[in-house]
Amino acid sequence: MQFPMIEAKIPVISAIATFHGEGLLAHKTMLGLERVRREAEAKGISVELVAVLDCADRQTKRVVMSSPILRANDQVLEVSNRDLGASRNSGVCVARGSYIGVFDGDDYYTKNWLIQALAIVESKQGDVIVHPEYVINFGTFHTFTDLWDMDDRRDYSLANCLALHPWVSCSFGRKDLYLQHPYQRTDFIKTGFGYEDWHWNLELVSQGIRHVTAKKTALFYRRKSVSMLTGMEAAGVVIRPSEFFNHPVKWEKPSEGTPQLAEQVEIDDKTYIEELLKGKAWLESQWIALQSALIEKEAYLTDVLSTKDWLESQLRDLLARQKRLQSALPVRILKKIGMITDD
Amino acid sequence: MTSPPHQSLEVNDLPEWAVEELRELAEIEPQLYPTRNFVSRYKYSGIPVRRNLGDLYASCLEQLSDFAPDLIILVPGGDDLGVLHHVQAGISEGKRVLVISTENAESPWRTRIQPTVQFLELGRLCSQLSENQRLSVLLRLVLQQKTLVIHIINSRLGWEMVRRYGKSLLAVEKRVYASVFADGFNESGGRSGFAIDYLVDCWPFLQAVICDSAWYRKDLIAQYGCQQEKVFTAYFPTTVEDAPVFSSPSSPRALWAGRFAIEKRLDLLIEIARLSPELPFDVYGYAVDDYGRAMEERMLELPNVTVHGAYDSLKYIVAKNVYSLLVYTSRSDGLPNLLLEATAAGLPVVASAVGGVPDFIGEETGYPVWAVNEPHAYVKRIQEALTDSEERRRRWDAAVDLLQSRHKAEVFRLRVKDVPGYFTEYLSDPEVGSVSEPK
Repeated sequence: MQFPMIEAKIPVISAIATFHGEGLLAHKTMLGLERVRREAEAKGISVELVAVLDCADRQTKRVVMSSPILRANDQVLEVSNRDLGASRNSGVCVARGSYIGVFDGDDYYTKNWLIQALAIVESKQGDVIVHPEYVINFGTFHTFTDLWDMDDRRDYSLANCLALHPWVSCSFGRKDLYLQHPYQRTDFIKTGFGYEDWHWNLELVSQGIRHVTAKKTALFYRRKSVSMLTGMEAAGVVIRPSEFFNHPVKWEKPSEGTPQLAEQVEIDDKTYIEELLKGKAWLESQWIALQSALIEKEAYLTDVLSTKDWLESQLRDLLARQKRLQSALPVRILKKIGMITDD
Repeated sequence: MTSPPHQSLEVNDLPEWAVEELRELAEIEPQLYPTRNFVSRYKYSGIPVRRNLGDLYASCLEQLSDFAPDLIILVPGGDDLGVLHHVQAGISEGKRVLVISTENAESPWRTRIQPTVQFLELGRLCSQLSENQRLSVLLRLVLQQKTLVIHIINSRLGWEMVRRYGKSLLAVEKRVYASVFADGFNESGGRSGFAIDYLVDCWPFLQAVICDSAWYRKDLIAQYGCQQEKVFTAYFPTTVEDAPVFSSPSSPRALWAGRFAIEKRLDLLIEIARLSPELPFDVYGYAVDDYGRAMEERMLELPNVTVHGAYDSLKYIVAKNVYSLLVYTSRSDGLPNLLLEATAAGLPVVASAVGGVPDFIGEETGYPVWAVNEPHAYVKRIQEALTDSEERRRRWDAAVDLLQSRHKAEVFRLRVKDVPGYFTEYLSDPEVGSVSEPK
């Protein structure tokens, strides 16, 4: 595949914000994100905005697409996932930054959020996901609470995570972590499962990834009388089954910089095949994302093409990964998961 | 846009840097401007600590160790013979069975289940939790297990789980079955029972309902319009292994056995005894409430009634060979095991023709009383039985034939095996999961 030679402009961070029916609030959210971006850029950290419009209503779509803060290199992705987690995955798939920041379409953040979060990721040993230190609620109620930093509060037990969620959806981390551990769909109206962030955060813990916080940062969380969250709470929604709950014996004594669970999880054939299928699904989703990116409208295409180097490296990675998978697997399993056929 | 002069804030739990952020964000959303009033509304709440649920869940999982059940049976705890039959059927099919008791109650029969069956006393372990919390633990256990088949037998927590989280159970391909036996009566005289409380709400999430009588199956279909293919009858087997021996001497003496509870109609028994002063009655059982105690006192006043207290086995009582027949007076029931036991022990039966009783005690197999509230009707049938010992024997023989042909473990196992997806591959049912979305 040949791409025209255009100077690549690869951001450090991709800020992924999901929108659905925020209406005019989306405008304010965009302004809030720009405030965070400018602060980061003042420190030399480039940030692209990836706005994911998931079945967004006309007003929300208009507000986001005509936002004055959008830049040529930002991306606006229209999807029909009808699912918050799946839309974040869509954003991650097209993100060009090495780091991902996950934002919601109607909240605010302290302007230092990305700077501090990046500093934490770079200073910590092992894999971490960073959350703000505080959640400051506004709107229908006014409380503030701190989030659990697993490195700081060793006395707090993971056993709490059955009854409550000590983190939030606002997160920051290396992109590869988001690629390796995509959000699972909830489809909560159909399945009764919800809280995709709670589930995702626990899944990462089960893979030995720690959740930490960036000091003096906050998420300003808009509380509404009616929202998806209140809908879930009223419906008594629960989170999907998670690997996290399969090994409670490992909930105690998390150790800094050391994977807690993943290394100890026994992988049987079924799990192994499931992992491979996930890998295959990931490869396919990457490929679809690349293809869809390439057929977007002209201005967008130009923007995508400017990331030629990145795209090529991604493709190389994909091919290499596919080869590795193929060479690591018996033909029987390759046939089973459809990576090769009898022909 | 310029900000007003900085206002001093005396009442403020928010960190100063957060207040400054609010001041800047007010440029975008003016309502966030940190006035004294606005900031004073804020209250700090630390990360809540609610680890007890997680700890109890961990204890449950630790007890299960590496046990990977094929079938999970949810029971309340207490004395429930039907559970044993289903456990046995599961074992006979080569299934690994996990029984979870959901109430804080002793389960005396647990010693009778095979050691290969795992038994988890969730209700006792989680006795300090609220019902909602117990439900959280139970739901997480069920969701995390790879087991696909969940069977609810008289567990209210199990029914609640299906009512509230049926969609989620279906979404992870759990197949939920429920056993129901009969409607009962509450203290006010109204009908009550699990089917009344839960069947309508839970129907979309149930693969099938299993009854222990043909009568209740028909009754459910008539009451709720359930599709017939989803309601099954599996007659419980008798637990008596010995060949039945007729044990009904001609010298008249009647036996009554059961809990002294309102639904057992001891008031009827008392009237029957009053109307039959020449017939001695031996009553075995114990009071479970004030009604039972009051009835016990009244019985003690009757010269022809002897109250013996609790009993372990009907078989040993009948073995005294002094009783001519069993009198059964309950107001409602499925198909009571007592009637099977009495027949197996050698006794003919005079019984109120309520619920599933006529499934077993009909005109050919015993002495059903159709006017179930009329003491005279019982007296008449008792006299009929006592005056014709040959006919009494003939009917008992017929009851034994029915017992031996229908109430066998093998027959029960095969009947349960007929329930789609319970032991075998599942064929999807279009009505399962067809729940309308709220408008």
